[in-house]
Amino acid sequence: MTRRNDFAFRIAEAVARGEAKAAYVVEDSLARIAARDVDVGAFTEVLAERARRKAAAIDADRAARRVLRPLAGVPFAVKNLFDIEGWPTRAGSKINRERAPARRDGALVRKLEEAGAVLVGALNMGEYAYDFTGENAHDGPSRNPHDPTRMSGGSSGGSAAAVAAGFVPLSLASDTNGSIRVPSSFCGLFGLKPTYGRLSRAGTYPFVDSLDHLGPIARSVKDLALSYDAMQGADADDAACRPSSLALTAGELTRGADGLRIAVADDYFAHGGFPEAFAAVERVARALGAARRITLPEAARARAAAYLITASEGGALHRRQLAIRAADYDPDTRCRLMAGAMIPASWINDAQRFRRWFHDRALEAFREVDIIIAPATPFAAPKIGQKSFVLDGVEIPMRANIGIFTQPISFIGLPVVAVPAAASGEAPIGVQIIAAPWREDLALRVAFELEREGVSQAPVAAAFL
Amino acid sequence: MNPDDIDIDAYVATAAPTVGFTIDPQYREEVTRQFTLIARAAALLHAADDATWREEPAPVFTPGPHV
Repeated sequence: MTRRNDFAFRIAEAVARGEAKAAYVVEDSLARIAARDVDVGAFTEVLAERARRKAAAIDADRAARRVLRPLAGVPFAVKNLFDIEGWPTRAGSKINRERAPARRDGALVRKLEEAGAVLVGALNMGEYAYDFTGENAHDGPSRNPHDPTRMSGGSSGGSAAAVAAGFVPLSLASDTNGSIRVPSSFCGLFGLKPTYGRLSRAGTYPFVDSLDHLGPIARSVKDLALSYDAMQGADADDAACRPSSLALTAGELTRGADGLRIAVADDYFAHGGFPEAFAAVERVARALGAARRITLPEAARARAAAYLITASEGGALHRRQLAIRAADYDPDTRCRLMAGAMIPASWINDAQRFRRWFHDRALEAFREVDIIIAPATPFAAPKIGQKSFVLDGVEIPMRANIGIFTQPISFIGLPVVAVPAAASGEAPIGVQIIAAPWREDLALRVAFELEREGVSQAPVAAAFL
Repeated sequence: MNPDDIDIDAYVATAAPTVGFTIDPQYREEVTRQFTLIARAAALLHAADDATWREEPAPVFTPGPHV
């Protein structure tokens, strides 16, 4: 028996009960990737033999009546900036393919496999994660399974496309300025960007160390919660990973949104997008009974400061390679990194001071409310290759502005669940459910409530059923 | 350096060697365009109405996350 297009938690339940073999589930995933990824471009490596060995071990444990772990037999894949033992960590680049193979898996890959999940491959991404589109000059674009002429979103485009196409029920991604939330929005999925410092980034290729987060993308909130719970824990190999006790969430989901103070972000977050972005926010707000509005002051400047820090840290990371191999960079990445490497230190010092100030203003807002709702993207997925859009009669560059609503939030490390919230029959678009630092549990509870009420659903794209 | 006053062409021409690379002429125009966007962002921050953030302590090393 296979579990085609099932949620991760249902696969694990079926494997644990003996209703499905992990080997069959994994073979089905591999077969669909082989047959249909040519239409999507989500995968850059498929690890068939490794996955078969892992699945066989799980089935052997089941046959021996050993207790199976919570994600037993669940196929998953990771953005190709995660280390995978025996493979160079390419991070979407041409240059990194020449790196030595990783000597062991990244920390979160190990944790998911310890929880029983089965790694089946590595996923396409924007070069060095400096991207909101899902396009890549070296590997081609990862396409949106709901409409392959449209962007998957980036930089974790493959991570979203693989889940939306039903190749895997779960993927891992990174988010520096929106790279989990943007592709989740464009592909109609649930994505969790935890609090900065919550999950270990050890064994991944960095982009902006002071802004990088890792997290899961899935088609159900329970899958997000189960995988997030499995990945928690301090890690001395990541200096930013906070040594804290586990804050497990899967068992809390059914508490829903009752008693939570929920507000819609106004001011900056109520402008600069297309009508579908704000309609999605209102749909979510209505479902949650959230009439209150709240302002995060100076959010436009928060985005500007995030932009400066991103360009500067990213440019500094690549400075030496830019000196000798500029021609090997993706044209959409190269000159932004060069410009970033030249930013005066005083500008970054100002941006960091502002970061602390904006963080304190956000904490003040969270004394008034528990959850803030905001758009995830200013529009639904644009066409692949589209370079600009017109808003209120003004032509605006596409690439940098896809993240206008996500950047101010990750700038101060707040936890966010991106939930799908498009009207029936419309192109996917998402909404951010934002909580105070370390309160992923509240954002997940609200997302679960929206899923339970049918407001947020993340089906496999129709062409892949 | 005040981002409103900077001569971007001149700055890009002189700054690249100080950070270790030269800009191939075929990339110069796009690097300058990108630095113009960066300078605009810096100018926006510089012109903040509420400048109390300038009184925040300078960034210091903290062993752990910033939040």
